[in-house]
Amino acid sequence: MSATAAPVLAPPPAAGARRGRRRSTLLRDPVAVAAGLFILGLVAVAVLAPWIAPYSPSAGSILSGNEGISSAHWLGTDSFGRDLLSRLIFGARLSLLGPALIIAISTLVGATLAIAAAWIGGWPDQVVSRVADILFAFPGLIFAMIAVSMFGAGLIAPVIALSISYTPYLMRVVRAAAIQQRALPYVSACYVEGLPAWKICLRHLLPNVAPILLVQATLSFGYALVDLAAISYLGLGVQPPAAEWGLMVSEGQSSILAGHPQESLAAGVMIILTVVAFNLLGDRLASRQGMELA
Amino acid sequence: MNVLELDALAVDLLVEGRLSRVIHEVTLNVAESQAVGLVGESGAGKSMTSRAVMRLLPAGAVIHGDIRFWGRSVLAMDTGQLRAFRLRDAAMIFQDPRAHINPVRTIGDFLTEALLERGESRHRADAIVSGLLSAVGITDAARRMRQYPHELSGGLLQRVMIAAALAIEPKLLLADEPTTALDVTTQSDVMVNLGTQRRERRLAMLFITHDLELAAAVCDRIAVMYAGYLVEDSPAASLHAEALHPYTAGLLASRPSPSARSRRLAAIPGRPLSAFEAGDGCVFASRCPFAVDRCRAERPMLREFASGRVACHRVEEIRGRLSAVASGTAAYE
Repeated sequence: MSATAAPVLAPPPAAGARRGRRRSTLLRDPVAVAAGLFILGLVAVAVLAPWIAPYSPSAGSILSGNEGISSAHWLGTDSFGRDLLSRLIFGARLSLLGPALIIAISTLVGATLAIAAAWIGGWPDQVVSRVADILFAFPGLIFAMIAVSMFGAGLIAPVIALSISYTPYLMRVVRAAAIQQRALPYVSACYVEGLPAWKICLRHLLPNVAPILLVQATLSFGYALVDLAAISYLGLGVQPPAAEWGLMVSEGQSSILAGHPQESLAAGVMIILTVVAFNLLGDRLASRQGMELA
Repeated sequence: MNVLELDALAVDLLVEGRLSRVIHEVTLNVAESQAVGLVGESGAGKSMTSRAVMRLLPAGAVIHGDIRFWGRSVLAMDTGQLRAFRLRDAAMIFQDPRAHINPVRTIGDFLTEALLERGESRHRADAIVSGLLSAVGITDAARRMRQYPHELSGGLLQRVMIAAALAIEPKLLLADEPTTALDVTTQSDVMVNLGTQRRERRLAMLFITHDLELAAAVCDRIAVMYAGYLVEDSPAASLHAEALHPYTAGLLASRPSPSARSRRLAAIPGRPLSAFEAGDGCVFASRCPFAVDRCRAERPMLREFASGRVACHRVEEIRGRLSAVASGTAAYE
């Protein structure tokens, strides 16, 4: 397994074997709990943004631009005089929606292809694996830039491009696990029971590879968030006046030299915290599975 | 009519890129409500025979001859028919229940899966299954069905596997060393239970084991395999009194006996042959104390003899001497 950031499997996880214990040790792990709570809190903030944000993310007067921290504006205002805290809160929506879409699409496509390839084997498996190898060679960002140049800037083009480039990562890990599972006796027992192949895959293989899938998806979420933020920073993603963290880093840039770093700083810190939370959670989930991150 | 007929069944497996024959011309019938024991050493081809019946062979395997279920060829079935055959007609009990039950799904899921697949309602499937669990001696069925495989002992799990096999109300049961992974006391419990259930349901059973004693206790007939060949097929009752093949006599002689305290445990000299190592002659000739030149040159065919069938050139001549060997009163060598 040569993929960057691909979890390396230790002995096949006898998944159910420690089910009860695993859940409780994860809850007793303060790092995992903190990371999980942070992510949950972030999702809650994103969902509840209109109710908890003190101001509209787009309202502001240029006359009150680049204000410092005050009781009216907890994080100050940006160069257009918009409340930074409100923009951060609303920014969580687009900043999380993008990676969520990417991970949902690449997990669905990757896991489906991986299990089908592992199940069928032979040349279809070879074709899928070689196509994945080719996709590995394209950096996701370049791929996204090509997509933007063809379909225009916005959320959709980068999300589709990154979904394609994240699929091989999900696929490779799940395929390796599915091939291991496929050879186990319980699968032949399913055959003997007379179950059709798709049901064996869906009801037996998938639950057994799901923990590995979850780890890879969690880790990829963080990377996807950074990639999307980078695309927005370059001006290829969502366009102003939308609130999005990557975009905010870019917009705040000019104010840094004027002595007002708060916009770039606040958005950058949110990106870092979120990515770290996803990475830590993925890492802890992986160690529950007896996986080591390469 | 026979539930299962193996007609000159031969199986070739891909070994290092070449097809090698591991089962040779096995002809064997199992009648309704009859239990046939398939006995032999490791590598004799017992398991492969039962897997061939289920068409559960490794990729690249070639089957010759025919396998018939109620006169219908299993080998000629297409995918859909084969699935229906596995879903309704034949069930298999595996040696290691822990490996053959999906660890992440509950016992209830495992047991009801085939029933749901056949279109039973969830409610009815649950009722059938909890009835079966108590039939195989598992009390507290409702709780067990919510548990995961790792929460059950090996003996319990094997009973679950038996219940799963019975759940589809098959006509034919293939039991591949169902008690080998269990300790001896559990083993007898499970066997008694399996025997009762089988008789009540008038099931035909092919019981695979390396334990001749156990096979003789639960089966009506015993078929003995050696190196991929069927060497003897006798009623279980007469096998003890009179083994027909020198190999069977050797197996009987090598069981430990509590009465002969000081005697060294007898063993058949030499090592078991792999099915594809056999030369021209009788596969057992290299280890047989009665082998003559003819045995090494010409392969004996399985033929009717006394109350059973045997593949031995010299069975008429050595008949009397074999029982002495089997009872341990004469040395095997």
